[in-house]
Amino acid sequence: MNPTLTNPTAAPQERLAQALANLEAWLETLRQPSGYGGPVCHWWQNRLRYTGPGHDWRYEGILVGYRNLWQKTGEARFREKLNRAANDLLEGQLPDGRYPASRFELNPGTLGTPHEAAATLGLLLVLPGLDDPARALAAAKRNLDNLIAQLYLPSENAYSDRVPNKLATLAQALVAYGEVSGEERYLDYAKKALDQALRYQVQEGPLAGATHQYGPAATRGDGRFFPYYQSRCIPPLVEGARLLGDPRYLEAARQIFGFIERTREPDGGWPMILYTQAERIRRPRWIAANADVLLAYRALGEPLPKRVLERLLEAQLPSGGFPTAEGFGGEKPAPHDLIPVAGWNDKVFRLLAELLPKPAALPAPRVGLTEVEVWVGNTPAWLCENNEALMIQTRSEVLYAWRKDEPWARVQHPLLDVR
Amino acid sequence: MELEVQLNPLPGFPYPEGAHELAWSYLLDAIFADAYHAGVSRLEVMLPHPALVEGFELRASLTPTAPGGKTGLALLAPGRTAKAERTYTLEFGLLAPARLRRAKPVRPGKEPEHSLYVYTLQAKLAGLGMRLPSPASADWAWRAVRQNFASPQPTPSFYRLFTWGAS
Repeated sequence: MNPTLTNPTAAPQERLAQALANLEAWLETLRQPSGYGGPVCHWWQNRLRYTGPGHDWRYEGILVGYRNLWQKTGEARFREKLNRAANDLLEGQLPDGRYPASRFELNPGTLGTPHEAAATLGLLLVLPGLDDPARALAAAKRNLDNLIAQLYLPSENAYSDRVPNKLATLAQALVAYGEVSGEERYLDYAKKALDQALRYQVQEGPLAGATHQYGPAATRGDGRFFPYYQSRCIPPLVEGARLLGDPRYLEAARQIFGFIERTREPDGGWPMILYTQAERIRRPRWIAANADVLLAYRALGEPLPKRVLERLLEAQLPSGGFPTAEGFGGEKPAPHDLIPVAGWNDKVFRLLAELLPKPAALPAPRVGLTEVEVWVGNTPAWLCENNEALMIQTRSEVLYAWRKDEPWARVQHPLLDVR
Repeated sequence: MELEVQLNPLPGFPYPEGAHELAWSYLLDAIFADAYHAGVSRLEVMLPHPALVEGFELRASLTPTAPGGKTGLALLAPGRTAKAERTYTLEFGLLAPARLRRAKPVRPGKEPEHSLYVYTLQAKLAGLGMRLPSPASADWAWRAVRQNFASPQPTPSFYRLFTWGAS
């Protein structure tokens, strides 16, 4: 049994607060006129060339994180940043309810799943802190109406996007909207999404509790199980149980949690994927994204595993951002491991802001230049990041350069344009 | 960035989904990133398929308009060349159907500044592994597809994008 924190905030408060202050300072360096920009590294694909704002799931963590920071510190500047982030979504929203550049690792593109629902969920969770909550509520409704129109198939009584974690996030946004607005039809759609997600939950065997990543057929899963994506299902199921009054959802969340606990590794990480045939992928393994896993522990009232939080905090870069992963390049560190990404760091931001005690004061940030060795294929290089830019360079040439106020990076090495 | 789009539909041009959707993410991003860094404020585009319009319009809306009035020209379907700060031309390689390959290439100069070969033969072959019943094997095949999907070096491919300097 791994040691756990009996009190989720037992880690030294000063360390947490400093890590949060540094991360908040780093997030600020990603600001562009209409949102938070930056490259994206992901398991599915990468986007290092497009570095403009993404109106995707990064807004879930950014909005909730700033709400928490404002509530816990009482500092007006955090409320201003909360409203600025909300305005990114409100001002950018397209007439039909979509958000521009909402596909994260596929950006730029629209109708990103679960990204639009996650951003809308962020809006709904912070309504009381917004200058114009009625406007935000109307934007949330437009977005959810469009998602239902695009994804729900009345003839099949199901959604076309048969990915349990995406269905769960959509359900949580629908539940949140239904609770605030009192419009029951959204609760019905949420229930359908959760029920559909749970069709893909494994009932027995070593993978019991886990949900398949994707459903190629209405009731058959694809045999892939990402511990990370399991964690994304837990808060929606907990909320679903509370607001839909169905204890099955809480039981399902507990079963998923059992799988997450069983697959936790001694050093505080998780494999990327487990397969039905007992195979697993351990490279890469997430770092920043594990904040979402810890948020799932909190959603169930479970103590946080000490080693997981330690592994996360130890990884913070001098710039204040958290690296994406370890192992994208095999044994050698790759740029895709170490590039800090807005849509992963928002999860850390939210977690640390949740762990911050109330009342709290955030210390001044202590950030500096990140300078780490990486390998671009067989070429040794350095990844350097400061407030103005992120670069990957060898002794003689620049392989990648992103000025943080620009929506397009200069990519000089083909391996850094691999999608 | 200001955008002017014209359509010249090419018979046999594939709908941009699946591998072609990934290909167009490379092609569109390469054009917009180059145009942005070249200070292009207005991009005139000739497109081979209406489904590509949205991707152009979205990127144009996300790219600030540079001062100075420089023009870029993206001839991704047959069209007339014109004076431009940057010109982008699309040709079809060995993996494309013959009727697309037969289109006469537009080459506004002798040597392009940049070339990008997209949806390569190597990627297509690696993609065969994605049909394997084992999800682990399919995941490895997808990784191989991505790693070999585009190249600045000449290689058999479906699409070839050339970037040309001021004309």
